[in-house]
Amino acid sequence: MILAHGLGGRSDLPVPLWLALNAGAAAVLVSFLALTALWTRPRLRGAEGGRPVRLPVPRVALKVVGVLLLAGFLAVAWGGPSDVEHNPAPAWFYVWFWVGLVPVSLLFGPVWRLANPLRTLAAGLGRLVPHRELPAVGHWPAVVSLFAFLWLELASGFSDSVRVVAVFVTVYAVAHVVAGAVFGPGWFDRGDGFELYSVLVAALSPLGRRADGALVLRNPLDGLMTLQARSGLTPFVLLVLGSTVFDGLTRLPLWTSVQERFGTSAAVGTVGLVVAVAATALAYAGAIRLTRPYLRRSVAAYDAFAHTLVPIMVGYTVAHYFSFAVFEGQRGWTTWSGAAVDYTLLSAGLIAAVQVGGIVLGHVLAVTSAHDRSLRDLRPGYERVGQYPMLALMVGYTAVGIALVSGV
Amino acid sequence: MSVDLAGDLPVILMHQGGWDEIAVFLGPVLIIALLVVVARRQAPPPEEEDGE
Repeated sequence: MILAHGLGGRSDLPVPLWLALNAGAAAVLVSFLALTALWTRPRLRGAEGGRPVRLPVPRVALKVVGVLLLAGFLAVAWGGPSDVEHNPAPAWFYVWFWVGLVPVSLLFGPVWRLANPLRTLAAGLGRLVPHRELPAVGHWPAVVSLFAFLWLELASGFSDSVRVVAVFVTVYAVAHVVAGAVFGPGWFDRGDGFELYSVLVAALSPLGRRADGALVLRNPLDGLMTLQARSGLTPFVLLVLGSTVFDGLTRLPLWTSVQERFGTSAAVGTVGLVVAVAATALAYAGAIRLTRPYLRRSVAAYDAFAHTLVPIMVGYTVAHYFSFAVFEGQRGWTTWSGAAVDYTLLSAGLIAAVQVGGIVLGHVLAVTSAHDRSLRDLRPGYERVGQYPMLALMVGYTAVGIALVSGV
Repeated sequence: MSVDLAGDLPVILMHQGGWDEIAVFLGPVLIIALLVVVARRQAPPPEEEDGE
């Protein structure tokens, strides 16, 4: 059977799409109702929360491993075969590194911050060059650097070119090592898109640092509260969310129709990426605009709920990249071994369950985090109705997310 | 519609799309609309004090 509108679309879901969509929206709504009934005062402790644990942190080993991995990657990307069928560098970069950052950061916290080879190399180079004070640019350099990567991956049209990947990683590394050497290690907190991304995901890890510096086991929602909403952080999260929306969009027949009409050039992809990010950001801005009258005057409205978007971002990422990671990640070794990629590792039902589950769980965590923040930041007497705009946003994000992974 | 493209294998072209797909989104859209309308109607006036 050939489906004239949507190849392999709805059949990917083990339940009808209308049921998945409405159940997802209902899960978010029911979570909110339960929270308003049972969670009546702020409970999250943020940087004060957590129980200290004693775990060895192999800082030096992580730094050495990070530098060796970068050197090995560049050697293979530049010196290996130039075709993607025989060179694993793109699979290493897009799957092992980019997608792999998520489970590693969720399990072990911000370990990439310790292993980041660019940070290590910049520290060495920094002893040789004069320092300058880091300008007050917030996280905007990280927004720019991550957009460059996302454009390469999703919109450029030559993302699977081995040499292009080599050029991108080399230029990215040189730029950040030089900036890190000049502006100091604080540059990587603000300017390195990959490191900021890993730190945001790591906020949901049960392992983290308390305000007193102790390594603790904590409620992941406490970790979310520790995120500092500097300028550019909210756009950074919205950029990741919007890019994932675009990635889902490109698998739909709608995108095929757009390409048939306007072509498959990088310009078309760029416009699509920008529109998807802008739509995601506008939806958030609209919800904040409606929430603003309910907020206490001292609260910075736009950034007040930025941290609550992080579990949504992680949920979308898991939903979109789970099967991609398992299947395409095999190319990291099959390009050398000559073995075929095993597409039978995951059933369609399991993939769909992880997709819907990731999106719904991410939104439920977001609603919980937003609820706790609302109890602190909304005007007294308006704690419930003041959450409606953000709740509407999350119901909308859930529905769009499930629709996109379903392939309608 | 059935089209015999391969000679011996019937290929059935099925249409997906239309009102049935729009109706799929009805539940979430209604929830969003209701939440937005209530939030707009019950918004406190700008001059109202925080009451802290």
